[in-house]
Amino acid sequence: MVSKLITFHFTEYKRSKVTIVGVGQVGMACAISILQSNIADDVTLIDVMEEKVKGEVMDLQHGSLFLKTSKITAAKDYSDTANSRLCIITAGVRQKEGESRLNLVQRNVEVFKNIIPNLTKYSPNSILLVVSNPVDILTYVAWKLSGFPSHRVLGSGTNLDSARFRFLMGEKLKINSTSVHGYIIGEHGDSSVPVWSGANVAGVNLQSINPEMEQQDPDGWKEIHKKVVDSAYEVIKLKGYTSWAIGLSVSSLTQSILKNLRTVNPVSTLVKDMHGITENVFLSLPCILGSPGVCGVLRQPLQQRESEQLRKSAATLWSIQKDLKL
Amino acid sequence: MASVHEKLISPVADCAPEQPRNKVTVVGVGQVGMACAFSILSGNYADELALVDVLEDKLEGEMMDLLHGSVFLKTRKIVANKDYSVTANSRIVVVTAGARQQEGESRLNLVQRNVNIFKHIIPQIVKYSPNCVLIVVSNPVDILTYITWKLSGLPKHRVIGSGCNLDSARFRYMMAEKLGIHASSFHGWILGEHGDSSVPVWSGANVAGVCLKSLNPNVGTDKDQENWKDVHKQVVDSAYKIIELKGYTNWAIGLSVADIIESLVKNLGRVHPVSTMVKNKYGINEEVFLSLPCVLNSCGVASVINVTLADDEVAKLRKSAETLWNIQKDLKDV
Repeated sequence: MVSKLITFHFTEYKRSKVTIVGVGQVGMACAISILQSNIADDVTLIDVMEEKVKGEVMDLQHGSLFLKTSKITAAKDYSDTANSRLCIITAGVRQKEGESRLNLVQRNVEVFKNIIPNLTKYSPNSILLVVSNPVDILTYVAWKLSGFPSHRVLGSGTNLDSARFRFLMGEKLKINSTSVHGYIIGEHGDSSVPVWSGANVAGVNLQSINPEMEQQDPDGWKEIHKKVVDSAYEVIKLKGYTSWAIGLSVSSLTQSILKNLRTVNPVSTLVKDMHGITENVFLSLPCILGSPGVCGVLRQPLQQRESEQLRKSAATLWSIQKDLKL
Repeated sequence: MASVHEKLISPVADCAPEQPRNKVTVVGVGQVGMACAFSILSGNYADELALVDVLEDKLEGEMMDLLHGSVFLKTRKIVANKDYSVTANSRIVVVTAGARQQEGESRLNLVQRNVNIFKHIIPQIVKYSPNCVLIVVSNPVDILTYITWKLSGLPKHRVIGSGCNLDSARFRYMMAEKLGIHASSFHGWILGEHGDSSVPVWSGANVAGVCLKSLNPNVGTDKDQENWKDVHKQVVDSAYKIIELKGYTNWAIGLSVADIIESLVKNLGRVHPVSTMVKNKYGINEEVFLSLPCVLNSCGVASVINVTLADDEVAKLRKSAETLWNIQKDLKDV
């Protein structure tokens, strides 16, 4: 009947394929966000838990009527991930309640040793976006294991921290978070750096209105950064994990890359030789994202204390990284 | 000393908090509820989203996680509380609360468990949003939509069951895959009872107006050598299959509920196969809810399309009605 109904002309070819490694809560939130934003024409999911991947993909495919992504695939092995433009890695063991990100490290390095070489084998020209924690170290690990040039390996880094920061500031000022601008850079997590000197609304620098902001801080602005740092722990305590916000943040980065938007996002990139950092570490700085990956890094003027903090994070990360068995 | 807020912002209008125009409440923040919530947010259908559940920590955690994504969303107000006052003035209320189908458990087995939960939920919803449209998703959906209708006292056009909206979406996807086209270009309706006894209306199945039946008169029957009937079987088995693989289903149902909400909130008048009161149609005498093609607009179910069904299809609907009524009549306190 098919041949009676339809005369086929030519077959399609893929243009914007995204592979997501890991179908836990984070991976699936990334998947649904990307699917609902209509930015990829092919989404492939892969995980060690085969039945789970099959079930998740089936569930997504059943929603095809409401989506505009023509191909959603459950990879049986890495060959199914071939020719991806972007590979998003969410696989890895999850932060336990109270566990700091740095404690996850060696557990996740072993996982990456299985994943990264396989991804690069089948998608040698792709961009790797690392989400798994501790993201800055794991982005370094992915870079080392992949052999890719550093502009093609980035970590979701403080993109989410900055989104949370803007949300909280927006709440305080009763303004939509998209109209409040502020960057959190550096290490994703406890030692992230809020760049107060850049925080502004309509170009009005908040620090210029309130020079006390960081020190005495009568208004409770420093609290906001603390709340951002505590966010993940809080949400994990309440619902067991975080998913939605990170999914949305990853989808936003995916869009910039796939559509070559050249938006500026705080993501984890190789920061050696910036802000006096001498180690081969990845930290979040405002980066221009496009099809090649990280197209450029903004030379953001930082105050003495801020760049010191970055260098301190770099040293901490390096002290862990140098002992990793890669 | 003036705060940053005061120094930065000069107030102009005295903006008193406004009543929401398109508030959507989701009751139940399990996997289905959250998938519905996320799809609603992605589609920008609501100007306010409220979440309710009995698990307070989970509720707060989910709300917080969504709020942290605000920069990427266009729904400013997301609220959550165990207390139903948070749901006040909703246009649409989606009920996903209830016990989940266990592996291998048929939908009908869930019934009394969920009736008791609904006795607590429905009166509260109606108390705070007397003008809302209620969408029931919890299973067994056709029975629970009936119960919701009874407990709410709302007119029948304002109580909708998600019904076969998802079954039809699955059907269209699976058929379209076989034909190498997009699901939205394959037209086919699954009606009646959501689940094992749903009715695929093969006579209407078409692509670009070309009826499959005109190409293959045996389509959907046991005589069909191409065995197209198997697609319907796959639709029926879908939920069980997915539950076996990943423990639950959520994405497809979330997308399908958001699709229904889009029609309601935007007053689109699109036709969806959703569960509605079918007494006096097709010779059905019982007060039961089954899926028929319904025109959905801002008032709810504006009208129902009168589908010409084959005798065996009508017989199936009537049998479903009987089965549902047999369970419904014995339910306590409805």
